[in-house]
Amino acid sequence: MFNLSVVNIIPLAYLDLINALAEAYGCGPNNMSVPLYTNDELTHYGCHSFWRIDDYAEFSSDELRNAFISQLDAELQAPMQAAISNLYERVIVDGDPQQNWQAALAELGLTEHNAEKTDIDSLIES
Amino acid sequence: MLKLGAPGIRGRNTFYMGPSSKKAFDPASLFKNGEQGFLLDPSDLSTMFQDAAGTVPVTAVGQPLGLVLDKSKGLVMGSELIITLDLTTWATVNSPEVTKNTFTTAATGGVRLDGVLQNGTWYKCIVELDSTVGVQLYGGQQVVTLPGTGRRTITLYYEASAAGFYFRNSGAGTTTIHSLSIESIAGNHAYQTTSASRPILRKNAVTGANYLEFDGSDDFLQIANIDFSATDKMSLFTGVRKNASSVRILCELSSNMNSNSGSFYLTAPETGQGQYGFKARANANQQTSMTALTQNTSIDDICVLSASSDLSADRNTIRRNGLLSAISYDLGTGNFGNYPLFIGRRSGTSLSFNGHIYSLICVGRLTTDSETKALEKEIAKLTGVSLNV
Repeated sequence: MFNLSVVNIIPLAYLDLINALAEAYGCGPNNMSVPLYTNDELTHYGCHSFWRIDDYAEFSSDELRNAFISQLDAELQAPMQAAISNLYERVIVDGDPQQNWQAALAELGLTEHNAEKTDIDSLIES
Repeated sequence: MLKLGAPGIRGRNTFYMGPSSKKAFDPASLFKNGEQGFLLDPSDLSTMFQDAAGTVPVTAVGQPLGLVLDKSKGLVMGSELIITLDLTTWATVNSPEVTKNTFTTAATGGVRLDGVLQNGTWYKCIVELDSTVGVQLYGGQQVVTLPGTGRRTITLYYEASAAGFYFRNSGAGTTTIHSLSIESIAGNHAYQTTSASRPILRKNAVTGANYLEFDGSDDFLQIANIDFSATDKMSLFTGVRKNASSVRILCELSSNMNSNSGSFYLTAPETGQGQYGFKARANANQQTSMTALTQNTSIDDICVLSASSDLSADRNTIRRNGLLSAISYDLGTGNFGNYPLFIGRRSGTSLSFNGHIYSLICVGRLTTDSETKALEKEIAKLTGVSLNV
C-alpha cells in the first residue's frame, strides 16, 4: 500500500546530486521538480510522492545511503553526503498530500510561484 | 492483426462503469472510423502499470500509475517483428562477442536492434533471458534495469526512439536471449518515468469507479506526440474533481497552448472564481475571448466536463454536467497540430492539477449530440453527479 505521503525538499545547490541519488535508487529522472522560492528568490526544489513504508525505509536507510556513497568517485562522496544531510523529509502515514505539502512549505518559509497564468487570470489581475 | 483479450468476456474494449452498472455506451465507438485521439479508463486495471515500462501491473487501488494504455485503438497488436532471433545481425556496442543468441562483454556493452522499430510507435516486448551480470534495456521512454542475474521472462512496453532497442550488459559477462517477441501495440499511451510524479489510483467508495489522484504538486502523465494535423475539430470528455483556487492544467495539447498554434487546454480551475476553462485555437494570437468558461463553482467541485472545438467555425464550447457555455471568436486558420499531451501539469513543469480524473477521452472530431449526451451520462455514473438534462 502506497500510503506514506512524503515531501522532500532540497536546497538548490544540491538539486542535481539528490536527483542523481533518486535515479540511482530506481526512481527515474528529475524527481525534485518543483521550484520553490524564498522571498521571490529561487532557493529550493521539492517533490511529493507516495511510498510503501518498507520502500521508504530502504530509501532513507543510512546504511544503504552510505553504501551508495562509498561506491562513488572520491571527489563526489563529500558533496553527496552534504546533499543527503540537507535533504528535508516530511513523512505522514495516510496523509493528505496537499496538506503535507503546504505544511512543509510553511515550515521552511517557502512558496511556489505559478509564474505562468492563463489569459483569464492575467486579465483579472490587471 | 491480433487483438488482446478474448471476445465475449470483459475485455479491454469495455469501458468499465463500476461493478454494478450496465454497459450502455461504448466510448471506443467514437473511434470506429480510425479517428485520432485517446481513451484512458482508470477502472480497467488491465490497462495500467506501476512503472512507465509496464513491467509491474497495477493490481489494486492505492498503487502508483506509471503507464496507462490508451483503449481508443483497441490495443490492436501488430505482426511479430522477431521471426528469427539472430543477434549476429544486430549492431554491437563496445565490441561484444556475439553468437546467434548470446553476447559477451568485457565491460558495459551489448547488442542493438536498429532499423526495425519506428520512432514514436509503442511496442510490447516479451523476452526470456539468462544473464551472468545483469542487463538493462535502452531505447524506449525509460531505461529498464532487469534486477539480478539468472533466467527470467519480462514483458515491457516502450515507445521506440532513435536509439533503437539496446540490450546492455551492466558489466563484464554473458547474456543469453532464449526468446524474444516484439509487436507494436496501437494507441496513444500515457506514461510517467519519474516516481514522484506518478498519480495514484483510487476508488470512489460510493460509485465504485476508479480515478487518478493528482497531488497538486508534481504529478502528471504524458502522451508522446499525437498527430491531430488532419483535423480542425476536437471533442474532449472527462469526469473530474478539482480542489484548487488558482489555475491548474487538467490536460493540454503541446507544452503551452498560448505559444503553439493548433493546440488546446482544459483547465480545472481556470480562475480563482472556480470556473473550468477550455481554450483551443488555430493560428490566431491568444485572446481571452477564445476561452469557453463554465459558471462559477465551489473550489472543491466534482462534475462531468465535455468540451469541443471547431476551429474553422471559430467556436469553442464547454459543458459542465450538461450545461453548455460557448464562445465564438476568431480562432485563426489551420488544423490542430502534432504535439505531446500533458495530463495534470503544463509541460510537466507548472500549474499542477490538484484533484481526480475518472476518465479522459479525446477524439479528433465533433461528437454528435446523442454521443455527447450518452457519454456524459456514463461518466456521470462514475463520478456520482447529476446532469442538467
